[in-house]
Amino acid sequence: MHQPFHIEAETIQGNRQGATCCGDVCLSRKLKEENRVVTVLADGMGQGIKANILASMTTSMAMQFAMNHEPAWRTAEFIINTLPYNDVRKMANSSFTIMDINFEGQVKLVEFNNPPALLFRSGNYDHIVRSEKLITTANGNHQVFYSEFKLEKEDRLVLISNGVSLSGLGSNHHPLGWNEGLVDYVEMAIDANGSVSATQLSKKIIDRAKANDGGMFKDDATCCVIYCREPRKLIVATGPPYHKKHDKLLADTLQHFKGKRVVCGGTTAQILSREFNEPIEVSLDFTDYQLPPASKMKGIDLVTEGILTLGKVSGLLEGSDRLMQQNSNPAEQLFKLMMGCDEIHFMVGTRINEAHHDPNLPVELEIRRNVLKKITHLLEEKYLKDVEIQYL
Amino acid sequence: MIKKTEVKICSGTMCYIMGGAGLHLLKDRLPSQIKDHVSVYGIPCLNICQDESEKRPPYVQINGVLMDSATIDKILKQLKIIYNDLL
Repeated sequence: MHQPFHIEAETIQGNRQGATCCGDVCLSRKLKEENRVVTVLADGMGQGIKANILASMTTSMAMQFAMNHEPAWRTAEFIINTLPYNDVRKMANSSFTIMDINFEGQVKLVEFNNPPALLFRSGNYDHIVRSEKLITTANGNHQVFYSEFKLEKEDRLVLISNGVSLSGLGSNHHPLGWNEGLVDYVEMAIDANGSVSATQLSKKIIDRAKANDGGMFKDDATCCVIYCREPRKLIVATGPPYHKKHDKLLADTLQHFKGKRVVCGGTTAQILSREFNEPIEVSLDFTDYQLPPASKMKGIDLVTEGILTLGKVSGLLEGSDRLMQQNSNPAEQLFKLMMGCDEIHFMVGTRINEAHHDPNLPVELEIRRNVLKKITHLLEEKYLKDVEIQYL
Repeated sequence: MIKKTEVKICSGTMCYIMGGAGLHLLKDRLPSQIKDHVSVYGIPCLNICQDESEKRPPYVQINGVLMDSATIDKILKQLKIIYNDLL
C-alpha cells in the first residue's frame, strides 16, 4: 500500500506577543500500517496556557477519533459537544481542522471555525468543493464544512489559524486581514521556487504574517503545509553480509539505487571497494577525535566508520547530542543526509566482528542491530520518515 | 635517491577506540628532515582484528609491514631506523 507520492507535513508557529505559549496546536501523525497521514490543527480561544490546553484537548480527541476511523461528522459533533462553550462570545472554545490522507492520496477534510484550507495544484490555487452541515447541540447550531478530494503529485495544502488569515487587520495594506493576499503570496512563492519545501513555505507564510502585524503577532499564528512530492531516497549499507555470496547483491543494490548512498563500516566499505573496483580515500585532515574520519569512494556520497558513528547518529536523532554548525563530523553529515530524505533504506550485514565483544575494551560497543532498531524507531516516530530494513 | 615510506593507519572501530585516534596526528609529529619522504594514509580497516591473533590494535602498516599496539613514538622509532642517515 504505497502512496503514489511522499507526503511532507511541516508546521511553523508564532506566539502572540507576550504570550508564554502558543494557543494553537498542530499535530501530524503517520500510521505506518495503513499508510495514512492524519493532521489536526486546533485553535484554542483566548491566549496562553488556557488556549493551549483547549487546543491540545481538541487535537488529541480529533487525532484519536480519526485514527480509529470514526466518521468525520461524529468526530466533529463529539468535540463540539464536549468542549466548554463560551457563553459571553456565544461560540465554541476551540476551532479545528482535521485532515485524513489515505494510502491512495484521498483526503477527508473537516473544518470547524478555522480559516479554510487552501489547495495549490501545480502551483496554482484550486478551489475545494465543500459541503456544509449543521450540528445541533444544547448551545445551538454549529456550521461544519466537509470535503473529500484526491491529492496529486506536486499538490500543496496550506492549513492556517486565524492568526495568519487576520494578520495585518486594520492596517493600510490589509484592512480586512491577509485572507486574499495569502493566496497570491503562496502562488508567487511556488512560482519563484517550484520545489519549495513544506518547511520553507510554512516559514515564509509565518514570517510574512508577522511582518503584516508589524513584527509582533497580534494572535497566535500557525501554518501547516502538506506537500505531495517525489520521495527523496537514501540507502545506508552497514555491516558485512553474513554469507560472502551476498557481497555482490549488496554492491548491485547500492549501484542501482536511485538516491543518495551511504556506507557505514570499514569492512563494508572494503567489500564495496573490491566489488566496484574503486579505491577508498581516508581523509586524515579533519577529525574531531570523537569519531573516526569519513572516507571517499567514487559513486558513494558518504563513507564512515560503523558502530561508533551510528551510535552518535542515534544520539543526534534523539536530541541528546547537539549538532555542530561547522566542520560536521561523519555522524552529523549522515544525520543531515537523513533529514534531507523521505525514504531511508538500510541494508544491514549480520556478520559479527567478534573483536567488538572483547570484555577488555575500554568502551562498550553496542550490537549493530540494536542501534539500528533505535535509529529506525526515531526516524519513523519522531521524523515521520519511511524506513525499510533489509538484513543480509 | 631517498626512498619513500608509506604509513597506513587503520581507521576501523577497534583501532580507533584502542588509541588509533591519536595516530591521526602523526603527520604533525614527523621530523622535518623526513617529512617529505613519508606518506601517511588512512585506511578504513586492515581487518587484522577479525583474525584470532595475539596482536592488539591499533594497527599500522609501514611499507607493508604490520605494527600492532601502535603509538606515534613506536612509529617514529621505526622511521628513525629506516632514515638512520637523515636523523
